[in-house]
Amino acid sequence: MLEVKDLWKRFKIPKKGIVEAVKGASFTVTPGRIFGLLGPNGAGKTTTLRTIATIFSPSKGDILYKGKSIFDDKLAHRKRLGFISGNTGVYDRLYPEEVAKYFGKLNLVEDHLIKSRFKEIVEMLNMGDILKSRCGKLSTGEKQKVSIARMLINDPEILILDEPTNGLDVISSRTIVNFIKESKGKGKTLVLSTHILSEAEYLCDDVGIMHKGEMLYSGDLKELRSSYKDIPLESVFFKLVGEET
Amino acid sequence: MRAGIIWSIFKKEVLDLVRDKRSIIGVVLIPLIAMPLLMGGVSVFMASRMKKVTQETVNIGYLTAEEKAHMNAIFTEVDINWVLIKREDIEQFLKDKKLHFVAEFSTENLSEVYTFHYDKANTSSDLKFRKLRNALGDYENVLIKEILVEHGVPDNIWDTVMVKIENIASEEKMKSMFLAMILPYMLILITMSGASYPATDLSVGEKERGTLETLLAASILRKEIVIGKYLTTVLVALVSSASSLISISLTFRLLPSSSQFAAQISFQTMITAFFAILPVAMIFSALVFAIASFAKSMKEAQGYIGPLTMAVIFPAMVSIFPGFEADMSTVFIPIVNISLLLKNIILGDVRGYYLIITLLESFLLAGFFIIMAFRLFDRESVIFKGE
Ligand SMILES: Nc1ncnc2c1ncn2[C@@H]1O[C@H](COP(=O)(O)OP(=O)(O)OP(=O)(O)O)[C@@H](O)[C@H]1O
Ligand SMILES: [Mg+2]
Repeated sequence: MLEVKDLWKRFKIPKKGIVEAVKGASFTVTPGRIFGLLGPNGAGKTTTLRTIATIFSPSKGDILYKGKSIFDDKLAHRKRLGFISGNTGVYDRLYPEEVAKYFGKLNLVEDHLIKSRFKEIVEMLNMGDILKSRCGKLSTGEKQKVSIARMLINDPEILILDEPTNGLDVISSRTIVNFIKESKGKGKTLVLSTHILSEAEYLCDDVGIMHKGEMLYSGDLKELRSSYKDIPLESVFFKLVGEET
Repeated sequence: MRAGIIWSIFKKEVLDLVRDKRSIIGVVLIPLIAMPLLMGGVSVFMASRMKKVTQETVNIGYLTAEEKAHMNAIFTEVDINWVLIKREDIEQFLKDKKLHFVAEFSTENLSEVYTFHYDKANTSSDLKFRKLRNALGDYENVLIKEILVEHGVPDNIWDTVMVKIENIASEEKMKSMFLAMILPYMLILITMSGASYPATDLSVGEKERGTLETLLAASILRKEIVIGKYLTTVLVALVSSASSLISISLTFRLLPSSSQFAAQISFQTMITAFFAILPVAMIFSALVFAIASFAKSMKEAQGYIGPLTMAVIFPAMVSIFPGFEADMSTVFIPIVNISLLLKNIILGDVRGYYLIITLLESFLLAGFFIIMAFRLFDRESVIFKGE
């Protein structure tokens, strides 16, 4: 179980002053359930996810995994963590296998495990035919597959996906969505962000609705829908935001 | 920090750069061909100029056959093409550059008077005039000597003042001088530019391409990332300076031995010079890496590094100008001390204290910049400033 407790994140920007990116967000991610962070641009989704990945440190609040603060031992936390975003790049001059291997090495995965896992991943994502090209030559969707392979090489328990289908066509999106569903079946702890509400409706069990750094709702998606008499999620979203502003 | 992780990062970055055509061109190819091109250019230019001055025929106009005969006897060493012209055409001939000079000979009282009409703005005439002037000077000496002897002055009067020059510098060292002036400057500059490309590519470049985030989410320390990338940058800077060093020494070796620049760098000198360039590589790599980590984009980084290069060019140039000595007055000035150290390595007289202080100072400076890079790399607003 991953618990985000009263998370605040502010950035000091020279000359411009202070930006409050996240203002007291709290939510719980349960293994085997998909948690979706929803919100418009600048809501603070990416900042929240990066903090869960310990790329950022919280200004206030804490994040617990299995009851312990993830910031007590960041390296141990990152070892069981997979992070991907819609804009993550891959190393253009490396081959897909080299990318995966590199991150396996960095996460201290044993060589034989890197090998066997990579084989499994290639099969799962059906990426056999792109192995002979350098990543720079691949399409956006193919690159995203390489990113997933990179993320999975250390067999993470926690998957953090920041708009993972961003910029992908329907077919590539489907692959990613299927992969997320499959990971759910394996009991992974899954947090994703998106501003495509239909995707959220289809995928998520729990949602957190963010706006201007604040968490307007977090909890079961079905409960949220029924409390608003099952109007479309988009309308729910506007109602929530409207109440706020 | 774990050596294994740093090694993995280092290996990956090297592989990545080796596959990058732009880095190969910038780091190896340009340093390899820059010096031969430059020296080739200088040699060809000098040779053609010398040839023009020494061998080319001088076109001289004259007004009467007697004058020509008299002057021709004096200018025996000069290849002259005599042209008979009329007085009123003097200016026209010179303006049209058909003639370098029009020469006249007359006598006034006891003096022989030689009048040269020429266009002083025409440099080739100006250079040729010096040759004629020298020939006339020699001729004058002969005449004076004859007159003195006629008047019973002993002919050792000529030896009243004698200047003897005993050059203690070996011919080798004389020939090394040019190399010693130009090599430190070139080497420092090449090392600097060799460090710039990987340092920016591996820091802001990676930020721009969106791969930095994946590294930061991996189970590694930021310091390990910085050191791995820093070592790659140092290696690239060294490869760059080694290419340049090899190419410079080969160029000078291949110059015809008659050339005043033909210096031989021994293998030992090359190794020493290479070690002296190590601190340069370390300082620049750290400095450029720190600056590039601060920048939002490759463009911004290049905007910082451009002026920085200019700031380094001047202290590096002390090897070229006379008056800067490798002594206590220069030993603490960064870059200046390395430039002078390199110069003395080529000339073969390195002072121990100079070497030690220069190296120590450079290591300290590199360490300082690395710590700066650690700090900058750790700042969240710097890491994702581009968004
Ligand atoms: N490293 C940073 N330095 C300064 N400000 C930042 C930084 N990262 C994010 N911000 C600011 O924090 C706020 C929230 O940004 P964030 O990227 O978390 O939003 P988001 O919900 O992911 O938006 P989007 O849908 O556009 O991706 C924005 O105002 C942004 O400018
Ligand atoms: Mg975002």
